[in-house]
Amino acid sequence: MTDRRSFVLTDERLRLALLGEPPVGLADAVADALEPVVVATPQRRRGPLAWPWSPALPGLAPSTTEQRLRSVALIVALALLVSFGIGIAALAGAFHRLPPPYGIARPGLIAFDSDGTIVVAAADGSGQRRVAADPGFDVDPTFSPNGARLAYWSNTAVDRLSLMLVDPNDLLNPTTVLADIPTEIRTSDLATVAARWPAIGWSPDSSRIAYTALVDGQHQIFVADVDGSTTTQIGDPGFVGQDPAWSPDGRTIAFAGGRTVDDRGIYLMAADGSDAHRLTTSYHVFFHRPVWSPDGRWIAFETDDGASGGRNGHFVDATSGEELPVFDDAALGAGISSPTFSPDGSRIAYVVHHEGSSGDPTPNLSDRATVIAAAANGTDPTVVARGDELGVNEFVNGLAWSPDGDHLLVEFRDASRGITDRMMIVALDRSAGQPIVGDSIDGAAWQRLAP
Amino acid sequence: MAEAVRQDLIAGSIEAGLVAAVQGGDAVAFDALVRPRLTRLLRLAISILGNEADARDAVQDSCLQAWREAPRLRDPDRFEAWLWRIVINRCRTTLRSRRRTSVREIAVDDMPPGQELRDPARTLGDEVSTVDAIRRALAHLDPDRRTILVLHHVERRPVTEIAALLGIPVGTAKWRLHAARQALERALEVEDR
Repeated sequence: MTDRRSFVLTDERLRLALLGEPPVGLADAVADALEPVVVATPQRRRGPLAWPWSPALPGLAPSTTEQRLRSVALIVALALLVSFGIGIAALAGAFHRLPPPYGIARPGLIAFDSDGTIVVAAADGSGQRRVAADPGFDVDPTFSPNGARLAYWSNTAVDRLSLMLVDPNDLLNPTTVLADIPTEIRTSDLATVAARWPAIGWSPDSSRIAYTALVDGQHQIFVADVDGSTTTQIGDPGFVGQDPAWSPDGRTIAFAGGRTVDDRGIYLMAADGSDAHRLTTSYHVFFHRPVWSPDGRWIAFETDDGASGGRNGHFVDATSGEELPVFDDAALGAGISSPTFSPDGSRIAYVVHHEGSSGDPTPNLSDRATVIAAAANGTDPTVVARGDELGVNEFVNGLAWSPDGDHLLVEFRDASRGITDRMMIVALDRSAGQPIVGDSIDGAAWQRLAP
Repeated sequence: MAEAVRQDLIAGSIEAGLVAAVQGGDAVAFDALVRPRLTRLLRLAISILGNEADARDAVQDSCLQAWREAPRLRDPDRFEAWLWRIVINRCRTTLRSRRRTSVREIAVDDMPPGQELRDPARTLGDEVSTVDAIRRALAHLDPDRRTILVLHHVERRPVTEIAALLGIPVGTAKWRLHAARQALERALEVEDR
């Protein structure tokens, strides 16, 4: 490109251009107009968080006697259920089985990005090793379902990403699967908790990756073989699609689609891009990151409605499109994010962001967050970690289950030591928390290994 | 240096006292806390939103929100950053609620690396038109990029503080600042065509 500009863009010139000085007296006028309204406005006081389905606050451990009675009742109920289930299945002649590679697995390495470098470590955070450096800014590591490979984005240039692959056991030789994909660094649109990069959607058999790229300024979904030999745009090229997620059986791709509030939602299409149709019927400003349950029956996703509703988590039946009231967020008056299924699909985990500002329940510097684990239908919620127990006085960014379902990897903002992003592995029984040492840690992922 | 530190500590104590009073429902203390900050907040809002009326509404709404939520602020030492964060979020919400999108980034190929720009002797008139050209180019940037440029170049906040205000990792803030600058360079190229 030929340079035709005749001046240098200096910091001072930029500063002058950015200075939008308010007219003289405006600040005082605003303050004077505000005063009577402030006096007349009641303040919001902090109160306890009450669950609609339990009279007690979460986090209170049941007594030993209660635990034993509950265990006995559970065992009896399970025995009856198993007997009944076997009988029904014998009659029906079919089991609903968790298809591989989903289900319980052995926890392997964890991966995260730290200030533009991909790091892998043991599950306790020890033995940290960095992927060989490249000129790009590396982010968002994602293990293949079979645990054999680690994919991540490399910001090689402004608005250009390269899809990289590396063997988790040989970090010195990453390979470029796809170079210079045109895209944008996507934030969470309305409330930036952490920069969200395009989703890396591994196929269940670990042979292909679905991703989002910009084509003529519009997001489109592509599928690439992991060796980069074939890349195909799928779905309607005239329709916007982002955040592709493969169903566990590999036949369907869920994605966030739509251009306006009227047609935005979670959509489904066949793996070859045919039969695209809208699944959700609710209206929200933005839809994010659909996540399939391990049995393929449900899809969890997040929405963002800004000042009118903030962030919320949802569950939808992948067949009927019926949305389930798993989170009673209206009653809680809080925002919910990062809904995620346990590896066996029996539980869900999510983050509750306690409302810090009226009409804008997005995380801010005074928020607290609580990590909750509940049964897959939302009952029996249990506090796994509170923000202040993590050493946090800001908010939680994301969650990842351990492959065996016993722990959660929690990403959070820690302002107690100079404002940085950190991670902690917490046990579901709240017995211990293991901090992962480092600064600017983001993008948690956990490797699955054969049991 | 010792005197400067002492003055900072005194100012911090006074401010902490004001925040505590606000949390107890003292509207006069709230005025004392907010009024000295209004000019800078309005400047930030004007830079993001592009017009005075929307900026005024955004700052007023943000102040009201801050008054309402002040009792829930757990760390009074972070009042300043908390208030700025409310204003930034409010401005973003305002932008996204506008039906007509007035900001659109122009996709332009990257400049070849290592290319120097000519800067001949300039007059005052040239300088004014230069700043105007930069302003027009800034209008093409998305609000997040304008915000980070304002925070760094006008408010002169360090990257770590910007990261905290925007709720992003420090590394991401560094990258976004770099990306915003690059985007502005590209927009300037288009303006010059």
